[in-house]
Amino acid sequence: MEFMRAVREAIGPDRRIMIDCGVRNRWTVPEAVKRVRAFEEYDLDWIEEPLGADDPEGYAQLRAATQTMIAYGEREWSPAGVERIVLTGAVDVVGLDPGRVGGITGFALSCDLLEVHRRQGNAHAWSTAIDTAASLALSWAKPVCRQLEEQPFKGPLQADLIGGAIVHQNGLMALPQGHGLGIEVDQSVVDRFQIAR
Amino acid sequence: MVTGHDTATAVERGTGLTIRRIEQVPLVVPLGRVYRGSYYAMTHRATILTRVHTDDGIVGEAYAADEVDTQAAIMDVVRTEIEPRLIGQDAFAVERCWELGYPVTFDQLRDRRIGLVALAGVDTAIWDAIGQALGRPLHQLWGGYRDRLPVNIIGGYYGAEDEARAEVEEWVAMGFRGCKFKLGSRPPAVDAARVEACRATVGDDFVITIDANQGYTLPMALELCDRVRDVGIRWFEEPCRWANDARDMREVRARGRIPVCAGQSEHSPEGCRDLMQAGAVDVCNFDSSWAGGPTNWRRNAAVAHVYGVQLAHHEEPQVAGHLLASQPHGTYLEVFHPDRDPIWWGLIENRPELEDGTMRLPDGPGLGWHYDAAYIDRHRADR
Repeated sequence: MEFMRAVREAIGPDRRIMIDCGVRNRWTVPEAVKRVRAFEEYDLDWIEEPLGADDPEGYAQLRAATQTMIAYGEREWSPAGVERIVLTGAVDVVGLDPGRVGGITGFALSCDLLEVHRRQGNAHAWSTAIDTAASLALSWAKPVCRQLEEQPFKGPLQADLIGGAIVHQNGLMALPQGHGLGIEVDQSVVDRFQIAR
Repeated sequence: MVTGHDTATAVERGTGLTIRRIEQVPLVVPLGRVYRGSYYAMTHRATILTRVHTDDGIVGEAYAADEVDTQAAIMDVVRTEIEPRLIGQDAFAVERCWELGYPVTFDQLRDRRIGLVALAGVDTAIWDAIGQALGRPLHQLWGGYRDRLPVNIIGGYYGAEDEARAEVEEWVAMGFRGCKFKLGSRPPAVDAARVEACRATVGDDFVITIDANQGYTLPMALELCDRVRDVGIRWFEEPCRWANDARDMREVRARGRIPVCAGQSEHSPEGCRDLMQAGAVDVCNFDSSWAGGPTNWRRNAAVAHVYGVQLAHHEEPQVAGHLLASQPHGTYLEVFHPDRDPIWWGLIENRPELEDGTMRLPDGPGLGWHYDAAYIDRHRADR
């Protein structure tokens, strides 16, 4: 709560705060309810993966006890999986990773499903810069995706691989230029990190 | 991935595909006879040819809306509500264009179909412009799963019984290998006999679907299933009356043991999703021209994909062919006899001939159809 308060005070009332619990944190349902209710005092936009990737009953309880948008889904591996979690009625923002959900085709199919269910999509722009570029391209194209994420760790596979990481300017991301994903892959970086088989 | 190819698109030339104006040409063509299905009759075939003019000379062109009584109302919606919002928009931003047009469905006191049909015509023409700008046929841009489709002819309308056999024989002579046969307002025993007569005429190697157009009660639909179960019915379309159709169709699937097709009467992919969630359909024949155009149809294709439901498309082969061919779960294209759809047979100059009961989609960019200017002049309703 101290941290949340400090963040809200630092960024002011107009910018949105989303919390992503990631893979390591696993709260119990009562703990998640208690925390999210407390965070709501500081205007939390969404809570991401507070109960991991697969806890439909837990999410239903959290949804019933709180008012904050719940986000998860980036660890679904097919559009059918996306449909399954949406039908639980306990996810507002569905994380989508083109590297997991069936590539660009699977991501696009999932967005069409979310359009029909009136849910928000959110690209998981992680992994390598190629996955990030695909996430961005799809987010530009699909109405259900309303924002972009910038991968914060500029390792060589985010930066060197495409001659410099994709970054925002003043909170906005520029439209990708050029054909396809709009990036150029540096083969020497691929060679450097390729695992010998 | 960035590649080095040099084919400059309209966007890269800096000209964009900026929408400048939308032109509409209404057509109304009288039919040679009255066509009677379960509880309806058709006397005219109508359509609206929609042209989306863009800055760099590309004109997206498509026809939709078999609507005689509401033709003027649909055109008014395009002219007064959609065109003003789309002028200056980039046609490539088709999702945004669709969203700008969607509010035409919000007035709950207006027949919602008027707005949806208006939006469909414009959306289809925008897609045609995109296809032309990219130099690719839409069935490729939409997924490219196949380039030809088996074609079913829609017929078996109620009329003099001695004409029915001649009608079915003509289908075979015309090269069709499948049909959609109308029934639904006579006692199931009578309708079953009509279907059996059709099977006897066409032989075993011919696809028969049947269509009650929501004409039967559930017990009647189940009786019909019992009577034709051995006739070889590919699917049973809209078997039951409208008010309780999702529950009743689930019963027809489970107890009638004939696959069920529906979706054309839904106004949205959301409605089709509810049919699929209810376990009511094996095949979904959502109609892009009645429900917001290809952009909306493709959303429903994604829903059907995850439910393992196959796709058909109610009528309008000029756009249905591209949509169905593009998708792995697409099935049959349906067309009418020239007497029932003179526009498909008369307006399009390059309509492909049937080959073994299948139709190859056009290779040209966009929808790829060439329209006969003299036919348009002869049948346009605004002069």
